[in-house]
Amino acid sequence: MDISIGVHGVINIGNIQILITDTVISTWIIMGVLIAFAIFVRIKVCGFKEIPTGFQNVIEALIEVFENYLRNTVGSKLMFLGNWFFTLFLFILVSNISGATPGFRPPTADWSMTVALAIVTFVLIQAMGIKYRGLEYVLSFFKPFPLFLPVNLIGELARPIAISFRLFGNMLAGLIMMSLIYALAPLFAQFLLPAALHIYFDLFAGLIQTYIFVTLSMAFVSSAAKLEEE
Amino acid sequence: MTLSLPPFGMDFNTVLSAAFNLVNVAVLAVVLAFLLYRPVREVLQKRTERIQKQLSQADDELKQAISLRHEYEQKIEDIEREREEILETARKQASDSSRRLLSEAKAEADTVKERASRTVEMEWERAQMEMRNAIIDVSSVMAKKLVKHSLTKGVQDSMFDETVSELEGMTWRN
Repeated sequence: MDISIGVHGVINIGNIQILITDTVISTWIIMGVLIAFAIFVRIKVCGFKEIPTGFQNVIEALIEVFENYLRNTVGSKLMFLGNWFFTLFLFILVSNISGATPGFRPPTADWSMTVALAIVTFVLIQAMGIKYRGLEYVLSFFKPFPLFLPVNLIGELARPIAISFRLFGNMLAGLIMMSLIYALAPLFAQFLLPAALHIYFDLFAGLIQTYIFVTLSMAFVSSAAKLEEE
Repeated sequence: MTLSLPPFGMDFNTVLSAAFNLVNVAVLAVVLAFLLYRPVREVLQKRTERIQKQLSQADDELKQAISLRHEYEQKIEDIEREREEILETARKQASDSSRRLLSEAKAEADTVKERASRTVEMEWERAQMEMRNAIIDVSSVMAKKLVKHSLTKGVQDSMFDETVSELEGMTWRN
């Protein structure tokens, strides 16, 4: 059983070496699938009819359901962030579900991926806080009195790190569990038992963790901008 | 390459990997925005705007229809009132006309009756006159015969004179 991340190559940019890991390759594959899907949709969009049917219905429902979910969580003023959260949702969902593919390592089972996504959330939290609340947001770190600044900063950093660990921990746990089961189950049971567990660890937990990560990100950003009253 | 990394680490490689992953996801976000999210959203927005426009138009048309209905209802009320007025006028005119015709007929009947009564009186007088003339003629014939057989010449003359004088008196009276 090996849950470590394999390195398949190195990209040298000056003195910096970027490792081409399993995560990077998985990410590229998922990006390829999503971009191919997006190109297919883009081609189909030209032929979209007034009354949607079939595939058009699915795509429109996907966007509409997501927009309603976004509007209910962050409010109308932050709808311009829809594209980022949509990408986040789609990418994490497909990444989590991809764990069901034998031999495929989900990118979300690597902390470097989940923390990267959480960093974007952190940046968005600060940006929206300053944009909508300005100096009041900055001064909120000194409340109830300036001595609390380090505590508030740690609290602020803890939120994205916590959600990154939650997603990473769940997906890694699923990966470890499945690796153990594949290693321990007898050969004849390796077709039926893992399939059922993949449904739980990759599909169910994957969907739940996607929802939690994206909803928490939205809630943190909305909370920083103090737009909950919407 | 046989190198492998732990799934969790806080070294420089992790930071670089996180940055590289961030770039990958950012590229994905941009591509998805242009190929998937925005085009579909535009389609939905355009349709929503079109439907809202149609709803707004339908609302305006409904308002116009209600206004027209009120207008026509008002017109119907006016027509109804006018009809009632015309009917009332016609009834009144018919009543006046009937009364006038009745009074004219009554007057004409009175005239006819009066004329008939006068004609009857005239006929009665004429009949009386004719009867009197006839009696006179018969009396004359009888008197002539009586006088012829019984009266002498002297008596005849005196009677003649007397009769003539009486007749003269009667003529004057008439």
